[in-house]
Amino acid sequence: MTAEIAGLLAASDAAHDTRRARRTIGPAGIAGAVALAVVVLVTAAAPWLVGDPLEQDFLAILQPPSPTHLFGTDELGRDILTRVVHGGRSALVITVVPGLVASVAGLALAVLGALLGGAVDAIGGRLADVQLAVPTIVLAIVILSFVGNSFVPLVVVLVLGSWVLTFRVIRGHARAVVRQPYIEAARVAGAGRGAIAWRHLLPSVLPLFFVAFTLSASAILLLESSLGFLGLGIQPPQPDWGAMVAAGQARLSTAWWLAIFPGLALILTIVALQLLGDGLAERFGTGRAGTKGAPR
Amino acid sequence: MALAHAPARLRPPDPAGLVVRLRAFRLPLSGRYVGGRVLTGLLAVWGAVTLVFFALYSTGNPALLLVAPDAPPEEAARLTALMGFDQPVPVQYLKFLQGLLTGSFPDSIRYGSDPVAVALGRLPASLELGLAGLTAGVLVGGTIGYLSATGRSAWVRRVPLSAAVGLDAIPTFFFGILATLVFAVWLGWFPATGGRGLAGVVLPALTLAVAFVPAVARVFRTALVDVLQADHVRTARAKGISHGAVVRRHVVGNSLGTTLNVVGIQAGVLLGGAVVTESIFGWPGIGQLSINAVQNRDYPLVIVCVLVISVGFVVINLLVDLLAALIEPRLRS
Amino acid sequence: MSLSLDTALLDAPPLSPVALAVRGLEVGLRGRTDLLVHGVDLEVREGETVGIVGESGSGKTLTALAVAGLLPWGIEVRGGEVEVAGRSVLDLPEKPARQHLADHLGVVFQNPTPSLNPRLRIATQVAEALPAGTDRREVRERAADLLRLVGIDDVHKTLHAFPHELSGGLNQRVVIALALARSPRLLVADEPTTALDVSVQAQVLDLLDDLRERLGLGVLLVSHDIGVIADRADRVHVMSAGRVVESGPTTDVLGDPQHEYTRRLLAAVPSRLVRGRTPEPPPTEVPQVSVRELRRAFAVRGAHGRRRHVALDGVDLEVRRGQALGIVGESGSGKTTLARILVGLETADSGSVEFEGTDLRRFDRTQRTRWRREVQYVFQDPYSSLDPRLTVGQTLREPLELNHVDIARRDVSRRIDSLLDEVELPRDFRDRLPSELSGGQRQRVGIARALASDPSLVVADEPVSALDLSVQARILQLLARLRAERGLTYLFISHDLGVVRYLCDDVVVLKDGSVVERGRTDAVLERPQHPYTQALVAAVPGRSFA
Repeated sequence: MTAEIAGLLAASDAAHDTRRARRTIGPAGIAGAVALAVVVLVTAAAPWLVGDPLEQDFLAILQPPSPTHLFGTDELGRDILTRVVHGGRSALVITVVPGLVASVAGLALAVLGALLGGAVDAIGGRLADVQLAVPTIVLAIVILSFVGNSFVPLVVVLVLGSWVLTFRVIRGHARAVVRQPYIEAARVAGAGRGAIAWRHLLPSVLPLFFVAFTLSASAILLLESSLGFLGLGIQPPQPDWGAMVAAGQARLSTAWWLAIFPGLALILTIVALQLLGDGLAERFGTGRAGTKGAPR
Repeated sequence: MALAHAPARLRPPDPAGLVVRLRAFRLPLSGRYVGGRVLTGLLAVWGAVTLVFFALYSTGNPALLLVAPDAPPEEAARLTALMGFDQPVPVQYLKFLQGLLTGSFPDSIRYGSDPVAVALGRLPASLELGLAGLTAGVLVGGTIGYLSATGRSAWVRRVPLSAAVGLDAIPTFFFGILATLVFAVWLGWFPATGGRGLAGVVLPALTLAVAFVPAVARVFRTALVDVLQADHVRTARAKGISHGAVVRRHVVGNSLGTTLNVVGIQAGVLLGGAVVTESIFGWPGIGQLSINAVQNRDYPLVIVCVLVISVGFVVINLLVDLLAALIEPRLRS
Repeated sequence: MSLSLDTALLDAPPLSPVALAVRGLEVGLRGRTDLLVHGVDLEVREGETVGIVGESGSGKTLTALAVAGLLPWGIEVRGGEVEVAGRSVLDLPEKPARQHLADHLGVVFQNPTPSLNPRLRIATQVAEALPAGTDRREVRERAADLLRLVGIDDVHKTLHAFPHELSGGLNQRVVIALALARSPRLLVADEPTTALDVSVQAQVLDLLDDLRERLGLGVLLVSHDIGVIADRADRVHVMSAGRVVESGPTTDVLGDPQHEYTRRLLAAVPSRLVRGRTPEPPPTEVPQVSVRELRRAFAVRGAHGRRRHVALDGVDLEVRRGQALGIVGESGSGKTTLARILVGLETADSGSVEFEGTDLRRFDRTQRTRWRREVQYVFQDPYSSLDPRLTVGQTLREPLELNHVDIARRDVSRRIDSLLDEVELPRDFRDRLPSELSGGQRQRVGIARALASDPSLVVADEPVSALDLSVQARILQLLARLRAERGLTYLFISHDLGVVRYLCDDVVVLKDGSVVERGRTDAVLERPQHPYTQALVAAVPGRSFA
């Protein structure tokens, strides 16, 4: 298709299809942002909203959902709602910390690689290849079973399992930007590597960084809950959504609420993050296609 | 013009034409390309192995992990000497690698026998589940991607894709549990756990497929949309061949290469999903074995399981790469 | 051809059958009321070439695609009639229409290599185009015959190849073979040579002429290049803004244009451009840049492993202060590599570049800063050479801030105003983003950026090749005026001999990384000595009319 006709079609799309030309993150993105805000607020206010997640009540074990226990109780008489809300606290911490570390590491490696090229770029690419070639779940099994599953090793596993996502998204874009003639024009105008990074590359990459961070966070939450489900995550009795689902699995036929409510909370949070991420991605003109290889 | 050449078939074939025809049947992949792929794969296995070693090493004396907790101290001492865990780190590392290469592992603590035999014994079940899940995922994801790229109505284009994207937010383990609850507990169509045979494989395979249906759908869709706009599709339309043939040969065919590549990258997702799925449904495969080994602190078995999974992953990736290169000639260089 | 109308009618041989008749064709975007093509009429008879010429946005390509039934999704025919081989196709249902068009009309596209499926061998793609029901055992021979028909020598090798293993010219021959596979009576060629080098372009156009004559084909030739149309078309339609503004026998229309638009278009052809009033200062004898034995090779990954591509193979060159030196050559001649080395975007493998007597590699800090200011670059693509996130003002500010230009902060804004004045852009453009500018306006910004640090040497790599003819003419006039006013030295890279003739005093001809000829522009272009230059000059379309 000639550029001319492509331009015509793009113009017509812009007129008809608001998705392409929009300046906001769109209704779905806003819904995601709102849902995420609710999750954050509720979990942050957990101590004031609900009781102690470890408090046992042997007079009310395995109660189905009722006005007193909205989500029911477990086999120790602990309130599921309380545990779900408190589980959100650890889930958010274990998502945000590795999410930030992984995104910043991915960003730094990608931008440096694009800027310096040569060996730096090759090393980054090779590292990503090796990382992708070691399934994250295997990595988690090795590290968490031998080293033990406390906070730091868990963060390390989650970072290792997710930095490639940011790296790949940003690297592709940064490499494309660096090849643009306007970067060469800046060089001719007297810009050194620092000036190019500061004036052209970082501003161009920054929106993507937020997209990548949001989507990494959802991927990390998925992964962390899977590890929790396999018994490799945060250790009981602290509530963890994945571990709660695992604990409820055995009583699925008699007490479905044990597994379902923590699972729904998990899905809500992940959906919120993904909607927000997709909204940001469309707002800043990049597809989710770049997030292929997201770990689970 | 064609008539003049008609008797050519009666004459002995000309050497040049024969060479051309022979060349067409040669596997169109250079040894260099295959070699490069294999090398990358070996590098990945080496990386996994090294990771295992240092994770083990970081616990102090790995020998203590590799024998049963109630074993006599002489046993640990024997193993320490055998695997060289009393020597400097580089020597230990080399000895560790040597042990892997010769296949000499300490006995599994739980099973009291060669862990390699135990792990390989579980391999067929995992392969069965993996193949079933892969087939289901590719079929479902491919169909959704196809519909969303070529559907005539906006509904057909958007609804299945949105559903697939929504699946992306459901963790594998939770989908498995939901499916069990609905189809096994409430409806009773399929066995909940421990089932084998066709009925037994349905729920686990679906659960496994869910992990990569969204990715396959999305990537296949993007590839199809890109190819649909390509100049060569216009050329094909101008030739007057049927719409079906244009789509089959020129659009779908050309979209498979990139899609396959992503499926290859998703192999890790497949394996991770397999570990989770096997453990939900009590599927007697290598994934469940490895999780049990972790829970039993059966470290020799953990090491072997990690090795088998890594090698499996590398093999899958290799096959996918080679397949993609067969489909897409430009990838070969 | 220059007969008057009535004698032409009297003496005309019996007219050959009509291959294509278009009446009142209207094309528009789906879901909108305004039209992109307004009521085009045209007729192509067997054995003749009818040209459509126009700038981008004129609707010429849409007209061709509408005739071929290949409009992209989202653009549709709104009205009118298209008759191919005596049958109106717009009334037919989709399938029979497609079938009728495929049997009677072949299409040749603009970009040959992307027009072929990268995944399939040529043999498969040719076989597919053969009429349905071709005997399977004959397919290979028929395909080989088709390739021979379009002048491909090594038929077996070509049939076995993938498109990415062949050159653009060869691929275009394959596309033509595909178009001929069902023995159509009409070829629709949409900018068939725009993506090709001049010499290859001439060969492909010769092939089309030859096929027209031998097979009695009607050819509808769409081009932006007036030279191509002048050489090849019997009759021409000039299109502008979706309408045919003038049509008739090519010699009449181009020789004695009636419509205002046609006149303006013809006046914009580089070889007819009139130089500005201000005479350029005569070039001095002071060498500003000296290039010695410059060599550069790249590692290329090809279909059969890595190989080295020699871009520059020992080039010697001298640019004197105030000179406008043109570098011409086809793609792969090394002209762009040379320009990039001169401005420091690329480094040479060996040889030296001296700026005012000092080797680039021996610069100290002050010399480097000065060189950076003195030597500036104008890019080919006005779209990608501006950062899409920076306003025009920010773009122009960059060299002022980075190049240590001796300028007070408060004067920066005034300098930007004067730069905009100089390139004839309104001052309030400083707050615009590149996406709000046209191609010509962007290229003006690119030129203003190059001028910001007050350079003495401007290296320009095909600065007008991406622009429409009339825009190109205005940019060339701007460049000539700036040279006169500022006393600039130009190193001007171009594949277009007309452009070089307009702007440059001297010219250097590059081929495969070596200089094959150099001298005064007029002398070299009128009396070329080297066989390559002779071929290059002979291949330029439109010599008859320029």
